[in-house]
Amino acid sequence: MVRIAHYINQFFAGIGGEDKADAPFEIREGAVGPGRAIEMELGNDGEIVQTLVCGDNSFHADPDANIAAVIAAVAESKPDLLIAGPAFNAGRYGLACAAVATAVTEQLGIPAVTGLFPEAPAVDVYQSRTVMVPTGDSAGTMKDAIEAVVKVGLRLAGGDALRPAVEDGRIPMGYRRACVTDVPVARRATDMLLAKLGGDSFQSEVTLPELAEPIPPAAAVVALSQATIALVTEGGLVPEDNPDRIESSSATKWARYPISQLEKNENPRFKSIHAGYDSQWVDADPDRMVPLDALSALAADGVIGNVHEYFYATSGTGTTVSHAERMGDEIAKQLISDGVHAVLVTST
Amino acid sequence: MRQPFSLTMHTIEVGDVVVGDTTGVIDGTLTIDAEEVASLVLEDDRISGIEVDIARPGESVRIVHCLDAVEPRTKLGDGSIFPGFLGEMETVGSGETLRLSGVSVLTSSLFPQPFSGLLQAREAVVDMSGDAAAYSPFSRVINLVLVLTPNPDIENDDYDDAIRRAGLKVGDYIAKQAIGNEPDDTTVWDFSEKNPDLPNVVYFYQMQSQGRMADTFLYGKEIHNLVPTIIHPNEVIDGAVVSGNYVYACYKNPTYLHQNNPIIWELQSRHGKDLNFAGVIINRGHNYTQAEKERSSLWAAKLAGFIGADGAILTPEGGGNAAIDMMLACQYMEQAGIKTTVVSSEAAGTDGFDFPLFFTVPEADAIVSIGSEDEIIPHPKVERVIGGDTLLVDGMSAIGPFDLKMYFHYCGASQVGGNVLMGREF
Repeated sequence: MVRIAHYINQFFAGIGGEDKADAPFEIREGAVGPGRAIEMELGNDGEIVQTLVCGDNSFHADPDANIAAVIAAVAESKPDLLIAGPAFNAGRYGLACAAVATAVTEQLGIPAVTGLFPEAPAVDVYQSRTVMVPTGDSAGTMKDAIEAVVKVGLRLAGGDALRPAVEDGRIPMGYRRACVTDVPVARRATDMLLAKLGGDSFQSEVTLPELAEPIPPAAAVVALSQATIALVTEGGLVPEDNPDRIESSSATKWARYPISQLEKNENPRFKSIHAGYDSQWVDADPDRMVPLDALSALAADGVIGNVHEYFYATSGTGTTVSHAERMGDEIAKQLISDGVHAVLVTST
Repeated sequence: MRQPFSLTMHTIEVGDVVVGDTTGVIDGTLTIDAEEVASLVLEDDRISGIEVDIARPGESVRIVHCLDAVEPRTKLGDGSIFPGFLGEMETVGSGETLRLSGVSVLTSSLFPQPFSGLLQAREAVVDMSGDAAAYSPFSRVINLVLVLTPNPDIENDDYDDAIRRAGLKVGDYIAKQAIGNEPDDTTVWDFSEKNPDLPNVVYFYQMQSQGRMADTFLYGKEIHNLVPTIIHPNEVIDGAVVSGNYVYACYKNPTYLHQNNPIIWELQSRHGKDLNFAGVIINRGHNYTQAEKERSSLWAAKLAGFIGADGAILTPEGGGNAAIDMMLACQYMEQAGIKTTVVSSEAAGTDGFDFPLFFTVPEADAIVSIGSEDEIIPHPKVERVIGGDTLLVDGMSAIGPFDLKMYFHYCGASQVGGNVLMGREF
């Protein structure tokens, strides 16, 4: 029989509504309120060993302390599963349920599940970290919500791994994994094409993202002859022993190297570690990737002020969007703090 | 098309491979005379050594440094199976071909000279059992592994050619020794009759060809400067296309997967039932500039129109660069009224949270996912490693245990559908 801890707020514990939202954290033995319906749904498969109750205002007045109290209680009772809510479309209650479920999973390694309306505020905040099943927007859908929570909860309590969100009936956590399937790729592709040709419904296995927000270009450089220009490349140009271990593909790292070293190009020599283009011509002459020769000539002629003392490098092949955005952000901040006015970015 | 393009494909199913005195198939067991195979390979003095080994599904065996793989096939009667490499130049895709199914001739080797940059043979691993076995089509066939040692005095390009010919030659040789066996299956590949009530489906088959170690050969010639071209499906499966692509283990289509391209075999099995297989368009991916990518994609869309395609299935070979070429072709076909499905690998990062595609167009509304290149797969310690002691990945010991990105798995992200995987949202 699966032993379950259940978290609810003051309303579902029968203490009262908004006027009792400052009810402090307390622990009750056995099932309370919706916990009884959960036990009905569980039948002989499980029982609620303790109910953790906290008023919504009280929880958010000091979330850290209340989460610590939940963790202490659950660490002692050692349930197989924590169920929080379901909280439907509630704002504060939903956030409390998701926070409690997340903390119990992450800190104690005990599976936890909550039920939320997919547009509830807590979904955005905790989606990637918490097992959530979708519910209706009000307690009027309690019966269905409990059925869904119990179904997923029992599986996790039994030690099963998560299945794809659609199979589990969960709100997606937002990550993707390769799964072995019954239907070969070629059959799926052909079936999908024939459905499309026949005007039948079909489900793409990857859905396209909303378009990223365009990044407005920076204002033009006012006085080029006074400007400090930096060189930045995704062409993988690094000292030949690659001291910063920048990855040849799917890079997560960037580094900067003194332009004076690149100018000498001996001890260390520079070479490209990029895995996505034929780099022999860059290795033979790094100016082909990072055009220091041309930029230095412009500086000597007074067309630009000067060349920034470092150049920045990563390798741009197979890099995920989030790492690319982070690296771009980090490099840009460093450049700004070093007083760089403009950047020449060379790519492959 | 006035060629007959009626190909009779005889299949002998191989259930086991063993080393013995003479090469041949008896009751589904392929016996290999290892010395004979070795002397055949060593006729080429660019290869200085060979070990012949066998890896079967379910064994605690890991194969490393995998290069090309070939299904043993030969022509019955006149004709050569890999024109441009073996025998005379001719058009394949008709006559009779004998194949041994369930077995591959897999070459494994290091190269004589050091590499730099893109154009190098990177690590490619096959596990014959355990979790990682789901990520290679070669975990599900018996591999006759040719572990080759290069003549140290030759250049990499020359050795690359020697390896390719060794695999093709051994494949042809083994199949020849099975001539006379009763086939388990005989299928006629003929698409000359089309049912006007069924949709015409074309296969847009994109291949990587950027230079040595990243090449695909069409009738013996690299396709670097190929504009998209129409080819009969029978030609593809009958040896017109040969791989020399070793740069990204997970994406590459070895010769075996050209011979057994799952999309082509699926369309063949459904021809006349729920579609007409209208043809194959080969596209060279990894075009260098935006203009070249658009030129090539527009050309492919145009050809699809020429052959009356109602729909197209598109597959790439490679990562982000290849995805752009394929997606543009998808866009131009859709704009020309040709419905498409595209097959794509995913690259959502090791934790799977990133957006999984490198490049998309709004028209790509029907995407089949073959899984991820970024996932980290646990590899157990194995009893035996074939091909070397050390991975070409940070000097890791090949015997395991280790965690390794799918990226280094031989055909782990096979975009022609070599595996039975799907990227799913969790």
